[in-house]
Amino acid sequence: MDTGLTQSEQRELEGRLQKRQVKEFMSVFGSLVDTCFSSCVDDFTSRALSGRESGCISRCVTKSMTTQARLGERFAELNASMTAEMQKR
Amino acid sequence: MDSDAVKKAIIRQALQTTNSVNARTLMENINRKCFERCVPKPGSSLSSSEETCLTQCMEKYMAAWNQVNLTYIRRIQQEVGNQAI
Repeated sequence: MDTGLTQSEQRELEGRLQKRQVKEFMSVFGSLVDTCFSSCVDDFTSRALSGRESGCISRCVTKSMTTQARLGERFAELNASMTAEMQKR
Repeated sequence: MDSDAVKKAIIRQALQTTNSVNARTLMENINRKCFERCVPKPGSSLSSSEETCLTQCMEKYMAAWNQVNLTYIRRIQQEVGNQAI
């Protein structure tokens, strides 16, 4: 596919997209930690996570990931149906 | 330096930068969250119980970070395993 970019421009573009992806992932990760910490950790009388708290965090992460995946699927479906609607007109 | 060594040096540099940005963001989050939880009514100085709470909050936050990391990786590995079947 001829995108009109030179080899080195192409490489530069890929590099930048990758960096942005990493940044985005890190911010998603950060907010996940924040959310699960808020929901699960309320006892600051000790330094270590209790068994209950780490179990809660595990479940919180798993639920978040499942939710994100499912929302992604629904969004893609909605997008596809809206596109189809617009093409009909 | 040959090109391979240059590449490695650049990767190392990039990782360092990313790590320091991550560390800074992490610190900001810890600051915000732990101040919220441990110092509900700010006085003119930190009491010793507030200080203790802040220390333990920070330790717990980092432990939580590790726990999230672990769970996340485990889950990804599971999904990759499922797809491979």
